[in-house]
Parts: sequence; structure tokens; C-alpha cells
Amino acid sequence: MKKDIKIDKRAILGIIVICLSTLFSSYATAAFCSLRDPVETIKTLYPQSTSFKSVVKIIDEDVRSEVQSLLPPNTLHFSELGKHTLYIAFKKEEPLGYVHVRSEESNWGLVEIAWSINLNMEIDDFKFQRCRNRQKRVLEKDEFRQQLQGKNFEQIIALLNNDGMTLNPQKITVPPKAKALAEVVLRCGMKTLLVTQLAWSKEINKYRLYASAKIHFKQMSEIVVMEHAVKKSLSHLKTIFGEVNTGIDRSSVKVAKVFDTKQSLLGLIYIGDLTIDRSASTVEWAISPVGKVIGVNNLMGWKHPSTQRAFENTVGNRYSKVNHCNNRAELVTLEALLTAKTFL
Amino acid sequence: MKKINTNLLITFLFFIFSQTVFSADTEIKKSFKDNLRLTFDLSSRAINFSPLDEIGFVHAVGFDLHKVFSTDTHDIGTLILQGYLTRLDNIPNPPGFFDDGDDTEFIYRIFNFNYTALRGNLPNIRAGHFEVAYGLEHTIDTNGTLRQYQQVPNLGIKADWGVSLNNQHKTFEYEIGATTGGNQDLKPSDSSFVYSARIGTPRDENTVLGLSVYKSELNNLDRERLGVDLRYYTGLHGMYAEVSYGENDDQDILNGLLEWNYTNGRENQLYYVQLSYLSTEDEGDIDGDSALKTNIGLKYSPNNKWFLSAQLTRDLSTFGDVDKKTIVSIQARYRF
Repeated sequence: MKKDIKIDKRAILGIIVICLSTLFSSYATAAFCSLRDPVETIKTLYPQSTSFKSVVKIIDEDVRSEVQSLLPPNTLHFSELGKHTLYIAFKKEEPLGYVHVRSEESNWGLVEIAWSINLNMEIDDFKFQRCRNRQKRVLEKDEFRQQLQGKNFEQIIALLNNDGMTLNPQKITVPPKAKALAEVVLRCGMKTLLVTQLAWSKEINKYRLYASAKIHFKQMSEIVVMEHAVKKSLSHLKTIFGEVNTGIDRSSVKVAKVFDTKQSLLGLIYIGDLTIDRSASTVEWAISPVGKVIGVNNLMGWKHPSTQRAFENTVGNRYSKVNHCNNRAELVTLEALLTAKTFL
Repeated sequence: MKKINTNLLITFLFFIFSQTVFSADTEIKKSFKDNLRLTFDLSSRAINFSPLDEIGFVHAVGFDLHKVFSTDTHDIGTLILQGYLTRLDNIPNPPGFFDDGDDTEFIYRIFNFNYTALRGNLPNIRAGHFEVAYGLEHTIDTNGTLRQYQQVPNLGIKADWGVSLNNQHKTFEYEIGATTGGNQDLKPSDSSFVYSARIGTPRDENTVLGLSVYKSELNNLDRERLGVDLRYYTGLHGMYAEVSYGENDDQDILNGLLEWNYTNGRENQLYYVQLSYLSTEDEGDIDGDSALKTNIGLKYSPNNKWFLSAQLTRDLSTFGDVDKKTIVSIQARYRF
């Protein structure tokens, strides 16, 4: 009789394990006790940081498929799937940037690289976390690292040839002996920026809005991100524009309210992607509580001074109708203001 | 089997305690699924003992939980809970926390909370069940694997209940632990204790050097050790070494281990050869006695769920007149 009870207990445990397993991730790796935060690397990459916060997200088959479609022939190997951590470095309450460690297959085993990425998703720096190739010392020197610093996803891709695997010698200079490892570093950096953007989009959007708000509202204390901003203002936009699109990619739009320490509304930040002067651009608008443009900036940089002037001339203005607009800069600014108006 | 209910109760209480403590602070994330990793882990190991010509089995089913607690701007600490219902079937000389070689017990592997919120160079504080801070094994993942180092034969214990101080710095990392000596039990039945400490260069470098000290009383046997460990990587090859010197009561002890290993570029295959040396010298006995054995093994992970491994252990020389043994082990492990 006693033996029967034991069997029942095991059967019950088995059923519980199977039931619970359906609730959680289906990706596993080595035992979790072997996981270690790159504490010292974070301090090295952000020496001014006073703390960091971990955000764990799943890198799944969907992310893998996106990487494969956007970066052929690059892919994520099986150990890259599963739950991974993005570290957000802070100086007291202020976010400084991200640190993400990714590994890349190589002829010398997995090369693990810790990347520091600023709030605008540009490479700040990198550090080899683990690398068994002796050329790592060459690539850790300023001469190589400076060629990657400040570059975003598209700019890193541009350092590789069209095959997405080999270096473009006209765009980047590397000592011949370190070429193979440099290719590993670039592929890793490219994948890191993409994977981080795909898997941690909520955090990336939040802190990008925070960085923009910090520039335009000196008294800012905190931001509140407006979820589904475009969806909430779509009927209003359709009233003004009909089915016409001003060029802003509405799926990219991010809006946040900005408050001071007394919880008074200072204004809004609107960020959207659009093509300007045939270049992919991300433009941020700072908008006052009464719907005036306080500031505007292209996070990718202005290609032509005349375009920059056209956008900067919108500062201090308010637009509410299409016939108020004399150029494209004013038209896209109108869309930003109309979206923002929903939350004022 | 008798300990299972007690251990399950401790597991449950630890879980509830951590939830209560961290949910009480409104600044802290309340959702338990945030920053949570949870995996279920099944493994079966078949072991052939020669010259007994017996086959034994070890089956384990358990969970592996990793949870980081954070505020809006910093991490507070990491909870790791690993509990395994482990079934032995025809295993000679089982670990002491099993009643015999045909027993089922709930086993804690790593089961602790590491408080990491102290700023500056202050240490982290770990409390719970954790690996003894000593030698090579402290920096290598040997959790549920066939490949092991000298923790158990040299120190008499692999993991224990207690507290430790630990941290990593630019040029070194360390862990200093004081534990009860109870092994799987929170309270030992006698005056057992374990003190251990390891300081080493950062473990991710290509050359890693560590220095360890250890003092314990386990089952009325006093042990003292001083150890040096070294890891060196060149390309896909790794070379490890560990030497320990000390005493078991009044008996001098000199133990050592050498390992060569090779992995592929993807690091889902590993091949290794170990040579392990244990020697004793009683007071007044000039010649002493020693034993030498080798382990040859491989690990293969076809994907991130399956972990297959095999190992051959062969005594090259043994203490006194003890017969030389050959042990062949194979293990399949599935984590999901």
C-alpha cells in the first residue's frame, strides 16, 4: 500500500511538471547557476554609472526569422535563442545607455562581446567578454573601436560588403592579421543592434523618449509613455489628411508626456520615422502644453542645411490645418502636432 | 524518502518568503514573471561498474529557476532555485544523503539568494545552498554533468547551506563562505561546519589563476586545504590544473588534477581527458599511499534542449590493495 502512495506522488509531480512547462518558455540552455552579470564590464563601458538594471526578454523563432530576413546570410545559432538580458546603466536616476552581451561563432569558439549602446541605438563602445583569438588586443585599441563608435544599425551594415559577412576595406581599416576577428565583431555588432531593437523595443522606445525629453525640457523629472498613440489619434488624423500619408511611418511613432518634479505637464515628445532627402530619418518634436513646437531635431542628422532650416522654422508655431502648411516640413509637423493634441 | 516532505516544504516556504518580501516594496516589480527564467530538467544516467559488472541508474526530474529582482534603476539580487527529485537504482556507494543505492530523495543543487544591491566595492551577500568556493569546480558549470572536478573526493562536500560574501572586480573575483556542513540538511546532526574561500583572476580571461583555502569538520573528520587552480585557453584547446595540499586530521594530503579539453567553434561539442591524483601520508609513514585515475569524456548538445554525454573512468593505481575499477557512464538530459 505504501509503495502505491509513492508511485502516485511521482505521477502527480510528473503531471505538475508537464502542466507548468506549458506556461513558460520552451527555450533552455545550461544550468542557470552558471549565469553571471558582466558587472565589471558595465563599469568599464559606463565608468560614470552608479547602478544597472537587468531586463530579461526572450529571443525566439520570430526574432530569429527577422534576423535571417534582414541580415542574410547571418542567423542566430541555437544557443542565442532563449532568454537573454539587456542591462540598462544608470547614473543615479538618469539612464545612460544599454549593455548587451552577444556571442558569435568563430574558428576559435564562441566570441562573447559586450556592447554599450546609447539611448539613440548607436554603438558607444564594445569590450571582449571572452575571446580566444590573440588578435583581440589589436581590436581593443582606439584605432579600431573609434571606427564603430557613434554608428547605428545601417551604418554598421555599411562597413560590410554586400555579402553581409566580409569587411568593406574602403569603409573600415583593420590590420590584415585581425581581419577575420574584425568581421566577427562587426557581424556581432550588427546582430546586437537588431536583436536589441526587436526584443527590447518597449524599453528602447521608453528611454529614447526620455533622452529626447531631457534635451528639450530642462525641468523634466519623468515621462509617461502614451501607448498606441497613433491608434488613439487616427480618426482625428483621417479628418485632416483623409487617406493621404504625410510620409511619417505611423507604426514607428512614439509619444510621451513630460512632467516636472511637481507633476506639472511640461509638454510632449513625439518621435517618428520618415524619409527626408532620400535618407531614413528619425525626427523628434518637443511640443508645448498648448500645442506649439518647442524644438525639432533629426536623430540621424540633417543631410541639407536648407532642410534643417525648414524644420527649425516651425519652432514657435502652431498648425491645425493643411492649408496652414507651406512645405513638407510644416506638413509632417502638422501630423506630429495633431497626434500630440489627442493627449493634451 | 523521509526527507522529501520536509524539503518540499522548505522549497515552498522559500518561494513564498521571497514573494512576500519583494512584493511589500511598492517600488519593486510585482510581477513575478519579469526577469524570470524557469526550466524543467529531466535526466537519466546509466552507469556500468566493473569489475562488479553491475549497471546502475540515476534519474532526476526537477526545476531550475533564475529570477532577478529589480527596482526602476537597479538590481537588488538574484534568486536561484534548483530542486530535483532524484532516484537511485542499484548505485553502489551512494552519497550520504541517500539511505542506500536504491532510494529517492528531493535534492537541492543551487538554492540561494544573492543580494547585489550594495554599492561601490562592497560585496554581494549570498544566503542559501551554494557550491563550496574552492578550486576549478567553483568557476566551471558542473551542475548535473558527468564531468566533475575534485570537490567531493578532496573536500568531502560539493554544496552546502550557509552564507557567503562575493564580488567581481576588474582584476579579481572572490567568494568567502561559511556553511553548516549539513550538505542537503539545513542543520547538521553533529558539530560539522565548512569555511571556504577562493580568490582568482576574472574567469572569462584566457588565463585564469585562483587561490583557495578550506577548513571543515564533516562526519567528525577535520580537513584543511590550500589550493591553486589554473585554466589556460589557446584557440579551441583548454588546459586546466589544480593542486591541493593539506591535512585530514593528522594525515597529510596532496591532491592534483590535470585536464585537457577541446571544443568545436560552435561549442556544442566538448571532449576532455582528466588525470586525477590523490595521495595520503600518515604521521611517521614516509612512503604514504596514492591513487591515480583518468576520466575521458565527451558532451554533445544537438540543440538547446538536449545534452548528451559519456565518460569513461579508469583507475590507473589505487590505495592499498583496492581493486582497480572501470566505470562507464552515459547521460541524456532534456531541459525545456
